[in-house]
Amino acid sequence: MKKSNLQSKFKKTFFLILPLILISFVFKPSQIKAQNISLGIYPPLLEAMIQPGKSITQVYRLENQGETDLALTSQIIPFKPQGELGQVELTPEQNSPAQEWISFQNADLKLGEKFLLKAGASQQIVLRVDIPQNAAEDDYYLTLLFKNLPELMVNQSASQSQIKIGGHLLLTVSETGEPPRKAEISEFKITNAWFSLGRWQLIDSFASPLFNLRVKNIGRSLFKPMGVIQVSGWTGQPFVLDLLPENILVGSIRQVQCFSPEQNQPIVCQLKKNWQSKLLIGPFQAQVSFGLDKVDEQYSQAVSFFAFPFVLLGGLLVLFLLFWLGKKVKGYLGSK
Amino acid sequence: MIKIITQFKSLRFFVFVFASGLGLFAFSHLAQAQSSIKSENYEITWPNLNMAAGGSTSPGYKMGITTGQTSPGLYTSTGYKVRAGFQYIHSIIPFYFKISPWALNFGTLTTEVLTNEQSLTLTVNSGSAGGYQITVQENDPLTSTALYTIPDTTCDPGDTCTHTDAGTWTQTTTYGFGYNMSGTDVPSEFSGDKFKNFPDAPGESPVKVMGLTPGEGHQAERGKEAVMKARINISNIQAAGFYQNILSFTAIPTY
Repeated sequence: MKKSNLQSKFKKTFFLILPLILISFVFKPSQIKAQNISLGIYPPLLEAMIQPGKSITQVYRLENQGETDLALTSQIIPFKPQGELGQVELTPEQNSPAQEWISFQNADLKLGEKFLLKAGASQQIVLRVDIPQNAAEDDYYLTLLFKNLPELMVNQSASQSQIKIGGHLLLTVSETGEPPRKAEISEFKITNAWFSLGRWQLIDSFASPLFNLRVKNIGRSLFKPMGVIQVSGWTGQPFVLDLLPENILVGSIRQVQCFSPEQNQPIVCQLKKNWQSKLLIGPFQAQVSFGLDKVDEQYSQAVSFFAFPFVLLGGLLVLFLLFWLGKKVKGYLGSK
Repeated sequence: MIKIITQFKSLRFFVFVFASGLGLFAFSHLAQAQSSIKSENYEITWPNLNMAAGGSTSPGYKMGITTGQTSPGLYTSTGYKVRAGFQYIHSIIPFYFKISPWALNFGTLTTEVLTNEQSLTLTVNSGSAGGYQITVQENDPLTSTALYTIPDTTCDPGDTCTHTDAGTWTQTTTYGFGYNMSGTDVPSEFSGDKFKNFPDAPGESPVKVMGLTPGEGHQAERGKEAVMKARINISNIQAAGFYQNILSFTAIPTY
């Protein structure tokens, strides 16, 4: 009797708790999911060269892939290059005349106005750039930024997140389409050379030469260096690394990277370890040559290097010395 | 016999309820997966945007994404040259950024402990970008409605930190608000569980918490994740109240 009472109590408790557990399973995921915010933008970069008095439009796609509806606003902010690797510093405190040339062509949305982007929804934004007839022929670097407007949290100690996402606009105003472009090779060297001897850099045969190319834009318009680093030696067989065509903005220096057509990815400018499966030995010359926005040899510079198996020979020498020393010690102990 | 039938019926009922529960549970997860598939689909449907989102037009002309040079003659006739996206990247996966959860809710704070911690996960899809950076900045230090503040931490006296330099935070007598980063593409100075404080707007510029450039080895890919661990430590004389601020996360590509 006592046992059946216990069983009945257990069943009652079980069936009371079970729905609660199920409800918690049903609602828990949605509670967690509702906590994120997200934004996506395409294209992330727009490059346009426009004549004074002309206009262009570009369709942007803005997406809210998160679980929260977002109240958003938009902004055009000037930026300047930061460092030598393509990073930027937004400068909202500075004004650019180009900010006035940009507007949205959407019927229901103006630049700077608040709008709602529901969770899972996307918004097409038609950006219009109108270059005035009297605009100075120059480069203008801007970021189209979207940000959410955080809502006040009540009775909580918390840090609330504001999400901002942007795409860059690189505008060149030019009457002819051929703005004055000029480059300067600030540095071209092998970074993993052991030491330099006159104009020669010495490198170990088993190390893959790693090149550092820094190019400065001293012209009045951005450009992309397009060309190669070609390594040639006494074998007569040249080895080629393609330069990555990245933008170099006016007045800035950029460390130029290379591109692997096989991997379809940017790579560091370094000859591969299994370079033709041959030992790199003897005198070599590496020459960088590139054109601005077209493959050319307008700019070029060379470095000479001498490859020798220093580590291998050093190791052999140490082994020989140890062997010789061992023999000497053995002879000395034997004579005693 | 009757007892056995009753027990059998009750067992059937139990199995029915349990199966229904399992079904509901499974359904709730299916719904979650659906949502995730949907967001994946966006990436798959983006290729159609070559014509829509990527297209550039000018009065009287229409132009797709250009990857080469147009001749000066053509430029004079059209009046513009436009290139959308990176020349060497053919992906049109949107540059995408997610913060989860959207707030660091610290609840009730305990004094003089290093366990008042909350985390945010930052996720980036950098498929269409040559590189990217995520920066952070706070609008103000944590401030209560009565305008008391929890200052930004300066870390332990032996290894101090600022909003640009990381330091050690292991002492319970070190007070303030700070953060540490871990995961993919985070600056190396956070290694060894080092902390920084947040730069204050507008005087202090935003600082990078995540991101890579091609020169640093950036590979275009989806689902890059980093975790921001934020910590508050207060003394026992800190004024009571609800302390709040806003952390602005900015995601921008390289150029």
